[in-house]
Amino acid sequence: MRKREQTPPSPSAREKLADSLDISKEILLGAAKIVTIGNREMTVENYKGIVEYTNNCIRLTASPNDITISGDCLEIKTMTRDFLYITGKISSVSFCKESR
Amino acid sequence: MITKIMAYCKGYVIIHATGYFLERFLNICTREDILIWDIERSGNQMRAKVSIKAFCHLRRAARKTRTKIRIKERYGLPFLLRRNRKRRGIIAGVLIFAVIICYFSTHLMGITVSGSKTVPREKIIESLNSYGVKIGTPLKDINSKILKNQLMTAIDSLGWAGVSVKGSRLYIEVRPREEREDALSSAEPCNIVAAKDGIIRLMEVRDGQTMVYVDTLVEKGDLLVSGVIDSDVVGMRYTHSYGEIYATTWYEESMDIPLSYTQKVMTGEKKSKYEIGTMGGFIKLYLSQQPGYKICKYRESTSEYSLPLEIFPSLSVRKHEYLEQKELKQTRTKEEAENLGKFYLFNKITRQLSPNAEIVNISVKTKKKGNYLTVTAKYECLENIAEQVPIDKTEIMGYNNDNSADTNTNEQEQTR
Repeated sequence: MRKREQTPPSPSAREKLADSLDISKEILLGAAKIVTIGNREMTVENYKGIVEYTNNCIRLTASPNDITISGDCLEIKTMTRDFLYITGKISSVSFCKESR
Repeated sequence: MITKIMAYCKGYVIIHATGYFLERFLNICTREDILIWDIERSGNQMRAKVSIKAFCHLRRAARKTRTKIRIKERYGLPFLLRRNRKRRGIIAGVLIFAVIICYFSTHLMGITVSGSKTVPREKIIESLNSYGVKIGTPLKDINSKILKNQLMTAIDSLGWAGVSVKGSRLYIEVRPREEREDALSSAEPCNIVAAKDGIIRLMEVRDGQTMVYVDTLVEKGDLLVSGVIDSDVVGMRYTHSYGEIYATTWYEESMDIPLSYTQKVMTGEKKSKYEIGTMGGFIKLYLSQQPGYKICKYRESTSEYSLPLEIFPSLSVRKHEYLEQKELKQTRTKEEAENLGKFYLFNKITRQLSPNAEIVNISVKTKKKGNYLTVTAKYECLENIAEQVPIDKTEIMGYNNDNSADTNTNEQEQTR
């Protein structure tokens, strides 16, 4: 049986607008922005809330997907309404299901 | 680092939160703009830092999520002040310290003079004092540029002065004025006169009219070579006469050397007394003013110690040193006295000689007079006695008022 080729999702109207106007997408789309420095530090902007917080896993609700950060000795150093600064030994970052 | 300092200044508490809905608790906190940082989770417990102001707002979130909150530790300046508010001594100490630091950093705490040994430090300090700059003067009243000019005008021997204020210390760097010899320029007409009495032995005149001959006796100030040359062809003209005129000169000096004398000898014993001071004032660290010895040599020295921080005044330690001496009666033989006399007289006479003088003959005579031996030394030297003196033209041309008056009267007589 022949495998069906996966096509990339077509960009939304907002994405197209952001592309054409050269505006940063996290502002226009409200998407989460993740920045990591090596595997020791990570900042997450535009997150919505914390779902789970343990030493080995931090699960966040964000747009468009929920974010799961796993690792060891994870610690939230700074936490404000839309900014999160996480330290520890980060092993993986994964995007789960579509956020509601 | 800065955020940590700010947090310390504002004050914060370390809380232990216990509950099953800690994530929800954190979400509510962020939504209500309660700043929580350094969050560590272990099981159903959480350790976090919260500012004092934010802690009051935690109650609602804690109640909603059924979280128990306990303060574990308190940190920051507000807690420190609260803890020490009854310790008046400490508060007074801190205040006094602040006042002293404030005073030290806004007033002159020391003067450092460097650069010259010929211009004495005391003279500079004295002239600074006369312009109102002394220890304790407010730094805002000191203008380096004006002070530099004032110093230059006040002290003639200064060639250059640099004034700068660093911290609470005034740094003065000085250079002495270099005296320049008033040498005549080669264009200026001049005579050569005898600098000393003597008999002329050799003349090497390069320009000018020779006025004396070899083997003539001249006295100090006698004209040797004239700068005015009068010839039938050219007439009278002025020249810059120069040359070397060597003459035999004599120097005679005598001195009395005692044959028996008392000599002060150090015994090796010494006593030191100290004074300690700062900002110009001194406190004596001794009671008795007496040196403690019958005969002694006195020495005084002051050393200054200052911290690398320039706002603090330097600490001065003045040391009075008394070295014990004893008197010994001693005698010297005639030969010893003669040798000593010769040595002293040699030093005395060579100081009067011109740099290139050659000593031709030395004759020494001794005569015993009671306890003393009179030593007389006579030095015969060959030296250049030429001294250039500028020519006063008005004197030669007869421009003086008296002369002109005389000539007028003569003219009148002739007309009659």
